[in-house]
Amino acid sequence: MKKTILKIFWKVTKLNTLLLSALGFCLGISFVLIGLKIYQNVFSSFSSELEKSDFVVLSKDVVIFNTILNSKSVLEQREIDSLQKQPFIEKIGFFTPNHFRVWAKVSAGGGLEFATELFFESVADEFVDSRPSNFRWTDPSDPVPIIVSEDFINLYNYGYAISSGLPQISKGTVALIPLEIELSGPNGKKTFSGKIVGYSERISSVLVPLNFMQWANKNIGGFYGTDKPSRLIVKTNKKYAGGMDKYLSSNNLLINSDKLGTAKLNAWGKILVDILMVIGLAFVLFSFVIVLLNFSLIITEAKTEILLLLQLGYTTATITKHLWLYMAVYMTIVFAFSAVVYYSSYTYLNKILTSRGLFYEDINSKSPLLLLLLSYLILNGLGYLFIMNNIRKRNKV
Amino acid sequence: MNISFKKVTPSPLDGVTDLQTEIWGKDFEFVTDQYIKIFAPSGKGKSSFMHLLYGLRNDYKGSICIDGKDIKTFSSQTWATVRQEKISMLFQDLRLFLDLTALENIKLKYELKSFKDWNSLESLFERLNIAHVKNKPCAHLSYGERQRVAIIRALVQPFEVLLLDEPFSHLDRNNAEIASELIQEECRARKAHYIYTSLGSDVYLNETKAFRL
Repeated sequence: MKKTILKIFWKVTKLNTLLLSALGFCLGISFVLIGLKIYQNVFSSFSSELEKSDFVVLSKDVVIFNTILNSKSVLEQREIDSLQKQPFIEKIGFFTPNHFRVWAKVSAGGGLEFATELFFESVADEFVDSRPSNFRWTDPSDPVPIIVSEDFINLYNYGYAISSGLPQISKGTVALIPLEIELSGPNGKKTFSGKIVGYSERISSVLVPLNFMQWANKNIGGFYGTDKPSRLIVKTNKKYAGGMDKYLSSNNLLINSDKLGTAKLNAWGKILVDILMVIGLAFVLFSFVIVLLNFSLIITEAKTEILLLLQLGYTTATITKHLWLYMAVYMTIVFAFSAVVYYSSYTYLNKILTSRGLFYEDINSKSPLLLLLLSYLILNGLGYLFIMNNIRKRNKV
Repeated sequence: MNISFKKVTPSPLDGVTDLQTEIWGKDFEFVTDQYIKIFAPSGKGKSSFMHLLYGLRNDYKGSICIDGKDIKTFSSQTWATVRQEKISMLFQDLRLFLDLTALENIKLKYELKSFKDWNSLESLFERLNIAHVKNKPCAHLSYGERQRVAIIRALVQPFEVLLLDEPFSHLDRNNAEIASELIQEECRARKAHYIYTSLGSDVYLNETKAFRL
């Protein structure tokens, strides 16, 4: 590195303006990264059924006659056959209900016990999202693995726990709770140990492995028949989704819409975070433009010096490299400082949100830092080209 | 190095007919081992001649070739190489960085390309009687002192031709003699030749050929 040439540019460097744009960078970068982090932490855990609507749950509309006549609203075979022929359907999965009674008990220590009646459903494995490897049952002595809807834990954490002053629990904690499951039916009673092994965003139900369900229906419920399904899970082909709404409403079928409320809230939150990120991005861009203009000014003010350097045999590339070094040092300081500002303000925000029950999991992801590094490299690269171009343009010998 | 001029006339002198010149509009060559003196009174284009040869202006008719290549075809990269290794220049208006110290002005050139080691460069300050100002900004130096700093700067790099534009215009007789001795010594060390301009009365540097401009 040639030191003397740096001294020539130092004289014309405008520190005040650079400080101002450093502030802009800090704010902008923090906004964008915090927005990104909120996307990862909050929205990813809420990501709605509607967005991933390649799988939807369909059910027959329950009408007043069902209640009055105590008839079940089920799908007839011909309805299923017709559905199967529709172009927007790729695959249909059936829910198998339990034909026995289920009681689940949790021992809270000190003789305290909670018990509740439950229901189980099963569906072919391929329809279960985020199916962990231990969602398997082979032998009657095995514990029963259970997948519950994410909505249940959300309801508990954001509704029940806050209002009744109970601690919020993480998914990890839930997995540690030992459950005692008592099944009873015409063929007797049997107790299993159970374990929650996963969460489904897609299916709001309590799922157990299909072979366990078949075994229990036979051996405890004494049920050997097949059920007429009351709801289905279907894999849709998005290409033909256009005709889906019409077909469903004319056939009295409903799309599971229990996520709709969350989805709306989600949409509002996303718009706010989007605005935050756009403002942040604008800050970053404007600050960068200020930095570029600043360097353009430096090049103008040092025009005589640059010309003389060229006359002494310095190349445009060497001059560019040294002037850019200023920019690179500046950018390094600004980005490092921004990272610190982002990290501390994010940690602070996280603390506030957690105390209000809005976060329950901090996804440790490197992507904000990667984004920061990438934009650092890109901006520096652009800066280099800008400086070189400016020096060339103004010093045509 | 071979430098040839073919019917070269700089734009400001274009159409001026009463020139008694041996250079403008004529064909001639400078070859290695010649020490050339270009003499003329003020305003006849001495500095223009130097600047044309150093590639600082291209408003002229005719063609100038260095080693057979037309200098109008030189890229800025080629000029940079030429100015680092082939041709060194002492400007009449000196062109020092006035905010930098005398030593820093030398260092600027030394950091680019050097024929000599740093210590022998520093010793030149003593030889030219300007050792006491070497750490002062050039803005605080007299013209005579600045001219000697510029001379040292011209001698930092390797070169085949040294262009000296009125090299001793600000120096007293004693200092001009010391400087001219140094220049000739340095040219011998590099097996280089020089071209210098003069108002005509200059007697310090030896020449093998003189041209009236």
